[in-house]
Amino acid sequence: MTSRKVHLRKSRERKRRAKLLEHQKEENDLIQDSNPEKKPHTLKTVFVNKWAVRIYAFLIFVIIWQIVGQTQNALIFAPPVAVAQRFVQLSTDPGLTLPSATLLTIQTVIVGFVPAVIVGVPIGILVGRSRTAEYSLDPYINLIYAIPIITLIPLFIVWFGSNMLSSYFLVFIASIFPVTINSISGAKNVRASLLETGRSFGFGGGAGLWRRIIFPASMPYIMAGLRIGAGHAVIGAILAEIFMYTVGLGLLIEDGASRFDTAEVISAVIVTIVLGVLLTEFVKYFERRVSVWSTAESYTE
Amino acid sequence: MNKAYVAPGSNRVRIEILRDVSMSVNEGEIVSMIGPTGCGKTTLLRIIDGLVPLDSGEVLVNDKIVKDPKDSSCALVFQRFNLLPWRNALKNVEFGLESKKVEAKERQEQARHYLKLVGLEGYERYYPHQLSGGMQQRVGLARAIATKPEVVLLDEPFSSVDLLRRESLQYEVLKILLKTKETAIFVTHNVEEAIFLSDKIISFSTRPGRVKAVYDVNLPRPNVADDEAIVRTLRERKNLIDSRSEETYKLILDLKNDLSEGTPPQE
Repeated sequence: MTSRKVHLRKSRERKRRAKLLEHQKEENDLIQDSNPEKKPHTLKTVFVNKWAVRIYAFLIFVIIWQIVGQTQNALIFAPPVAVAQRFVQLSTDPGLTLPSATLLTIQTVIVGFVPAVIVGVPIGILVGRSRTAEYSLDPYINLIYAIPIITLIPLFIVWFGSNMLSSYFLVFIASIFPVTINSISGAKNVRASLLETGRSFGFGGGAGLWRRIIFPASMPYIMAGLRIGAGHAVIGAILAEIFMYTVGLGLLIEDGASRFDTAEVISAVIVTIVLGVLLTEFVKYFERRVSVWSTAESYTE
Repeated sequence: MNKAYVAPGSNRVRIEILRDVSMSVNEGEIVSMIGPTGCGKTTLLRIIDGLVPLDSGEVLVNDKIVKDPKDSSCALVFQRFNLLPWRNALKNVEFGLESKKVEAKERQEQARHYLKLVGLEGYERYYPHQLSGGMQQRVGLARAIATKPEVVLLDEPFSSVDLLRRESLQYEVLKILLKTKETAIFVTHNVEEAIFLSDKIISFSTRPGRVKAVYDVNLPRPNVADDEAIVRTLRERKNLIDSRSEETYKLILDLKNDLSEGTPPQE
């Protein structure tokens, strides 16, 4: 064997070894990827790629929409450019149609949703912890939750008339049940060992136990309920505004459709979607803060 | 004199768990209750804390009857730590003081002091899931002794900690208990652990649990407050057990014998 051949073989082997090392490194990177906090770099690249793909997909969607829209009657199917124009117009006209409608809808959501949380969470915790409360209330909670919210509208008009109050009440009813039902699960799933700990350190069944153990231990479930409830609140508000007391974004949707102004309808729908997403994300932010310990705990338990 | 006395014929859910149990613990004494699984020693510990009601008999701590954890001057250290996961270490230690109507500022200061005592200075803001099992149990110990209990009750406090850290945690816990001159009752089913930890060992029979025998452990016991001296004596203690020295060999055999008698033959 000549020295040249030996040399070649050696270099080939070195290359192979280098490749193997590289492979191992890649594998290590993959393993470390599962721990995103420690590797912000890879997270960032994944993040950028993810958003790049999303933006491309969105652009393709908009282009198809534009092409299809142009072939249709503009009254029935507004293309994105027309929607954008109408959106700007509605946002900047002297009456500030779209912004004021949005504010009104936000108001309806908040005035209905906040009392739903204030009432729903304590009821849920009570039903979750007390047999008497569970047996007497639980069937009705599940029953009413099963009612499609829209079927209540005629009844609400008869009871309260077509006004803001009935809109608030519809939002309240639409959002209180997910909040309550999740609070029930939360209160039911408080670990017995934590209750025992509370009792051992001098909180025997009184307000101290509720405040210090049951409520914080139910928090992850309650927050999940709030997140779902927030979505329902937006749906409830739009339903009320379309079918009961036509103001806000519901008015724009209803009115726009009656005038075949699909661009206006789509503009209002887009704002509604953004509203729902923002509200849900807002709740999610708090949910993540409380669920840090609960997810961490489910790993160790 | 501090005395805990139990004489229950406890009948819970129709299963007789404890029968005619009577025992006493002197002030400053560290006692282990040992027995086969299911012999009711953990239940007994909860009875002493007032968590579990008993059917007959009574628990006396300093001549005061214990019926509820509220009037019990005992503090429990749990097998699975039972820290409140939404509270950081400091707030967990504070928890024990919250029912005692201590002012918030004073409470925090004390919690800080006890965390430091268990060697967790600097970990005040850590949440339980960020701490190792051994550290969590030290928080649990700090929470218990921060309430300045008459008796510290420890329910298999080392069994949820991995083997590697178990021994160092045993040293640590025992050192703290000796330093603060606590009266303590351990529940364990490990013979060597019981001997290492205690001045007196109460051995229980299988269900219904009865006191089978009481053994005095005559091993060197540190009675100085100096950390190093305590650890030196404890190490000496450990060596005597590990080397099966004269003092310990018979005790180990007796205890193991007690335990194996309790085990049903079909297992």
